[in-house]
Amino acid sequence: MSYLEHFGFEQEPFSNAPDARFYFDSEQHQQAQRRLRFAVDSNKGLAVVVGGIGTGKTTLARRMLDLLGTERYQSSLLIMVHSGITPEWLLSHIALQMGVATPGNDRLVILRQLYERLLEIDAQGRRAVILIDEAQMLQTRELMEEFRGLLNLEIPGRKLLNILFFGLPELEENLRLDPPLAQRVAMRCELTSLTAGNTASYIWHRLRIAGGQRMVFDDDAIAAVHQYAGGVPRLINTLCDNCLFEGALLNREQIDEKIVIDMAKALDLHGDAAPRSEEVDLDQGLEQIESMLERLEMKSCPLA
Amino acid sequence: MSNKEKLIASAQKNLLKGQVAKAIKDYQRVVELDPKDIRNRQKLADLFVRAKMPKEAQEHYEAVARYFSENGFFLKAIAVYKQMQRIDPARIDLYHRLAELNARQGLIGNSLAEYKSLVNHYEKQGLLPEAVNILRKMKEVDPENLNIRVKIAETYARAGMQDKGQAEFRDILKALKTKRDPAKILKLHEIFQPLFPDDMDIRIGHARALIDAGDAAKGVERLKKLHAAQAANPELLRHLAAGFQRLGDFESERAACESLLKLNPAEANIREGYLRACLKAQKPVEALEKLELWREDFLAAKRTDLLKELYEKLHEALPEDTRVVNGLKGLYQALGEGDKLFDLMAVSGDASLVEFLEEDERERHPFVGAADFPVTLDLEPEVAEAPRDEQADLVMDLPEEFLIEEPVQSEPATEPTAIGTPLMEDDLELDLEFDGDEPPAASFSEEISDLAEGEDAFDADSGELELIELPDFPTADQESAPGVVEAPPAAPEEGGLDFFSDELPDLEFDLEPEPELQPSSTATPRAATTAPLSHVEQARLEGDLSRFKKVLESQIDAGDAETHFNLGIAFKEMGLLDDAVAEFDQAMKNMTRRLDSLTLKGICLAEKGDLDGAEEAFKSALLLPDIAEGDLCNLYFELGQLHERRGLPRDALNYFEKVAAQDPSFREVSQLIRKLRRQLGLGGGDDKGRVSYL
Repeated sequence: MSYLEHFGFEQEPFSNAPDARFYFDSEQHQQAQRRLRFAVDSNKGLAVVVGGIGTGKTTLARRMLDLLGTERYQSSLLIMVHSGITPEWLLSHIALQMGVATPGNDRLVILRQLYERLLEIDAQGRRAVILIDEAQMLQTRELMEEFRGLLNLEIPGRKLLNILFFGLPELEENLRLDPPLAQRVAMRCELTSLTAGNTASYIWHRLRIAGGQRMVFDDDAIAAVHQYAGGVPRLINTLCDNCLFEGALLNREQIDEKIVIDMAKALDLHGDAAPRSEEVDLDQGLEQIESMLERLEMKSCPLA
Repeated sequence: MSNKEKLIASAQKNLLKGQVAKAIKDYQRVVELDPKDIRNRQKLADLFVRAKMPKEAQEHYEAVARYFSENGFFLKAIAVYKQMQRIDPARIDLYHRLAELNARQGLIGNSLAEYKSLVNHYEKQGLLPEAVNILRKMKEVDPENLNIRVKIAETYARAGMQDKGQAEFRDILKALKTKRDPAKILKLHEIFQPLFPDDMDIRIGHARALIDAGDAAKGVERLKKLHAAQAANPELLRHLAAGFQRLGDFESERAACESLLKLNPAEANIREGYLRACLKAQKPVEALEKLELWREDFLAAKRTDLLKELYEKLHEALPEDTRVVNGLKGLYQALGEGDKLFDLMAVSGDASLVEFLEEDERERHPFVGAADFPVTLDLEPEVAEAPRDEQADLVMDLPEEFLIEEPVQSEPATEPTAIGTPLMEDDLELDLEFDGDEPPAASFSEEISDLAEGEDAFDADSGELELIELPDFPTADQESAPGVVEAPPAAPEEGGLDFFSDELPDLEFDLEPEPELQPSSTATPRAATTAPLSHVEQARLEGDLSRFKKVLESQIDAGDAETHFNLGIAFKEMGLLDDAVAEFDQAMKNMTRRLDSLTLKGICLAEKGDLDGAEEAFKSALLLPDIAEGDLCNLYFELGQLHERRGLPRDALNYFEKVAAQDPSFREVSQLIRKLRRQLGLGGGDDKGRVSYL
């Protein structure tokens, strides 16, 4: 019997795959959402969301994409997967996403095509929005300058394109590569790890969405999850997923603190390693977490 | 896994395969293993229903309901009993239990509904005493509900228990009179007169009710006919006098009062009525003659205000009559109304009493000076001199108590003050203005009414309560034949005592008796002794009393709303959707549960297939103020699903997109939008095109 059956879930409650149904509307996410929406609706131009690993930036980006429905918005989410992208490629892709059928080869041609398309969108009474996830990968000054150029596409009274960056805190370093662009940040939001109380709510939220009828983690277990995962949603997911699997193997109805500690040790999580954005060495923390996630993925294979 | 768990798992598997009989066996074993497992016993009962084995289902439901009831889960018990009632609507005991349980929960309307079903049943069986017993229980549950009492009285009457019926009738009438509702009193008489055709009081009361409800002509016409048979009935004469007064036929009113006086010559109120009628009939001389005769009696009865009023009116009609003037002077003096006395003397020219009056005024108004009496200078001497002796005579005639109240002024005020003049002028003007005003005393009709069992006179136009709309129905006696009573105009409802909103519940369904419960001619001998109901009467009994309820919907308090709401949920869980809807209808009468009730009502109706009703409920909910975002999403989502079921994908998409605009992760709205957009050949519903990797 799978742990889904054992605990009466309809689906995995702690999958790290993006799924809008599991969106946890924490206070900080609500606030960020409201601010980003305002930035777009009032054509502010550039808004930035920064946060540590696993704090929900991608989830928020997808949430925003869902909210920016096609009726009122021409919106597109670009997810950066490598940092070697050229300004031309970026520009061509953005033009394509904004509805330019066949972007030209020349940068100026593309810009003209994009401008005309943005005017069309504006004439339809819609807003054009580009969301860039993993924006910390935009590491060159040329790329930053390209975005500044895009933000300059405007008509009297308003900008024609809105850009939302979602990225790790180092994104802010990248923005500073082009100081005029950094000055154009009209809205900034920061996502942090969850508090202990939010961790409990987050766990219950996901259990409930997955079809759970009861809280299968006892209080001590939740405290332990928060301690070992450091309030980072992605780590909470991984740890809880392992705990549920272990609980089912042990035929337990309830996940207790011992199971959480055992699983945290197995995952090589340390209670005092909870990342705190203002204290952690970013590069070191990033490496630690990435290596940890890799290990987790490797471990999770035989479990599947 | 325990044995019980295995059995439950087996049952679930069997159910998935559609093998209900096998599932029943599994659950039977579960219940045998754990007889206290109420949840699974209820499932077993549900399965028996599915298997069309009502007897077995009832047996297990009975156990479940008893458990709930004994352990304080009354709402759940009600839901289970209701389910049992649906399976076997002929089980009388279930109505009793449901009525009692509902009453215990404070669900008065539901309790009455169950009892009403029993009343219907017993009436159909011709078992009127049993019906009366149930009605008495209804009265215990809702003692303020006059309709129940009306029904009790009617049932008594139809059961041949005239005395009890009449007693109930009089109690109801008393209550209605307390509420001062002429329209309802009229309706009450319309109901009961045919039931007690020989009761003269009711017939007279009916006529009087017509008068008070604004149809004085018809009322008087009826009274005249009754008078022909009972000329010496004082009550009848009183009402007749009141009727004539309402019609403005004061001469006839006077004649009626005269007849009354012959029967009760010394009764003060009748005398008063007679005097007033004389005055209104422009017969002041007759009035004065009688007043002079009865003045001592009125004084003895301390009716000086009345005397003053009547003398003042007489003075208007007969200003030269010295008896009137003297009578008034004596009264003013006795009452200490120096201003009026002065005014009267000034008008009648009685100069000899100026000094006396001046002294009196100075005593009471020390700032009034001698210069305050310029009016007296205009008096004609011959008039001014005359009344002194007469005034003295009047004083002689007054009882001692009045003389004591007016001490003789021994020290006349001699020092005028500067502000005295204007004050006096003001007083004079005021007195003049008030001269001739209608007296504040109760009208004769009111007095007459008070005599008649404390009945009050009613002004048809001032009725406070809503009109009870009962149909007119033919009466046995000839007097009602010429014109069916027309309902008077509905009185304003606001501020009224809406006790009819505590109406007999509107029970549309009747018991469907099993064959053995069907009344038979041999089994119900009492039915034969009871006069069969006319079609009209039957219709009225079945429908119109309950129609009262529909006139106005009453608000219920938050506690009651919560109870109805919870019961609605219990019914919904039991699959009793109609009952659930009825409870949600009740619960929504309070704002605290209106939104939830409308939403759940819509869901129930949608489940029943009543998509129009469901849509109406959801849209009504959308009109409510201050709907939270989550509730809004829920309503739009339900409307989206509703339109999808109707095969209206574009409308459905519209609603789903409204949900997504608020919360794209709300239930499965994003998937539904994608699906519908694909179905409609619309772009943009798929994130794939909008998400790219660089």
